[in-house]
Amino acid sequence: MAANILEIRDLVDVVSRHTIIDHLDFAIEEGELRVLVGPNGAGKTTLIDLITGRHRPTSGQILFKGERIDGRARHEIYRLGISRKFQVPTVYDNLTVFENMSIGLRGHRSVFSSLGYRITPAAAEQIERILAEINLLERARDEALTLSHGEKQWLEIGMVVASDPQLLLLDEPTTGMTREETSATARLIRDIAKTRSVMVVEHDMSFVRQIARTITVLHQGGKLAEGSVRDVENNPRVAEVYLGKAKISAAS
Amino acid sequence: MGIGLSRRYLVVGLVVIAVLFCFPYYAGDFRMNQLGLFLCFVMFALSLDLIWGFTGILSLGNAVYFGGGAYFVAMSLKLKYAATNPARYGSGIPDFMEWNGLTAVPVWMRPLESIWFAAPAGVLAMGLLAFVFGFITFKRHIYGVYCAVITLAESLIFEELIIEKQAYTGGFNGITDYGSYSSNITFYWIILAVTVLFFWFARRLTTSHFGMILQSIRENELRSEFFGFEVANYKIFVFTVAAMMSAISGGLYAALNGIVSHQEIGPLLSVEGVIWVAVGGRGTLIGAFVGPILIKGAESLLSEQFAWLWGLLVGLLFILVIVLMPDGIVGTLLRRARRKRALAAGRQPAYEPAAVGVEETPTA
Repeated sequence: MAANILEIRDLVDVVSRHTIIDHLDFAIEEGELRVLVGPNGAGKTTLIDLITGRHRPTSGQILFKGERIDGRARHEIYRLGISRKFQVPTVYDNLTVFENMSIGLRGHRSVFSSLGYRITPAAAEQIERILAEINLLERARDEALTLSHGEKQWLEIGMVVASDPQLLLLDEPTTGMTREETSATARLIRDIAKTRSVMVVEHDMSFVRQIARTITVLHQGGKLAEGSVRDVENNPRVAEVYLGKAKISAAS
Repeated sequence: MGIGLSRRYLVVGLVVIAVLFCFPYYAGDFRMNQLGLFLCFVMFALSLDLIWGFTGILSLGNAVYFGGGAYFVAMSLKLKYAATNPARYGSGIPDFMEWNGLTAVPVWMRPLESIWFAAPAGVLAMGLLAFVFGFITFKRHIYGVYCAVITLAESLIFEELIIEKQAYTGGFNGITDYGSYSSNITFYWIILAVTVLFFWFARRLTTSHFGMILQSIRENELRSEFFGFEVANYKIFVFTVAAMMSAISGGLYAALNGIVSHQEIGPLLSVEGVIWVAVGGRGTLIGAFVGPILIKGAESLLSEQFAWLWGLLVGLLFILVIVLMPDGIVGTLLRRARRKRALAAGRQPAYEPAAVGVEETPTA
């Protein structure tokens, strides 16, 4: 069995007396592609916030490759090798697609090392390779604000891929995408997951079926179920949470 | 914001520099002095553009550093002037010191008698002040409106300090009568040279990879933090650099103007600077040139013609530009050009202008 790249131990997060994460335990193995599902308010995005250091959990531990990271600064957590993609596509509107990618590219994070930095031909090549994968190579010189919603999603995925993380956290990467775009995204994520660990938060069950090996279902801040797509879809407790629908697939 | 300097841009730049260089020959001393002062404001606007236009920090206290630099230089020239003009200053010390009961220049102020010490010391002191202030502000994640308020307070504090400590600052009247460098064509050229240098520096900085990082912080600092940038450090750096640029422009201003007062350190100039940058076009370097030249130029021409009306007209101009061109004059022109290019290339340019002064807070 592979080692855990991410381990959540008895995690609790209380925000103004609301318990968002409620004694959550779970782990992701090295190289795994894990999908996190759950109804609105289950704590999915909050979990990503806690892992990436947006705020400090109330109690419990978060371990990355066996090292505690809860409560550490955002940039430190990034530097350990964790990158995230936001739920709303979050790119730099007034920078070009290429410039956006150059911000994502790993390396040169401190003030004085970035002062003298110029994009090397190798780096530009790497950016272009990723842009080709996400179908944005032709748009490289355009400002990001001219992109469609789906293209912005891809650009942000491209940026986090360029940041070369060991663990990639994707928060609803297919929101606002057409069926074809969703399928293309699924292929892209399966590709990415070949070389690194990925955790995807998603609502769209048809998309989940395209990429998932193991699913974790969150409900009210705790783990409701975990297993293969089939296990989870046939789990009566999961069906119950999704408002009496016969199958989780109906919730998409 | 293309990479490298396009030829057309370079040609226009050189023509503008040539016109400014020759300006004294056909304009006379009065206009030359005026333009010299405007260029100091241009440099000030440029420093504000770096922190506000490019990094998204709205500072209402940038004049502290301009005024600080100005006071160092004015004080130095005044001490020298008082000591070397016994006919006017019998006791050899500045008049305001005498009025406030001092009989000699305080020992700690003595080093300022040399301008070669005072001018660089002013710049360094302002850099240090900005570093400390920036450290406190940005390390504590104070941004947006809160940052504007805290810098405004900074401006008020220093203005008050200048007015209160009149034995050492000239108080409400400021520092005057110290033999300025006005009507000195060489000094005008020095100011022009420093302005060009500032533009070159700002251009290098903002078009570099570092400049992209600054702009990414302006666009969405939360996103940049999750990309591993310690955003506070970048803000402290650019805030400090801009403060030193402001101090240099303030020092030149004091030497040329022959008078400095609390207005140059207080909120008035701070806010004026924001208006210049907004009208010219924040986030465009040319805007930092156009804004102050246009507004100060209009102000001076109109005040000569319609003494009572000019303030009104300048205010009206400001409102019109903000309503009609939220990106400022240069920003809007650049937008249009880009839009035209995009249409020519057969793409759909999607653009909705954001209102000036609306601070974008991090999303998601």
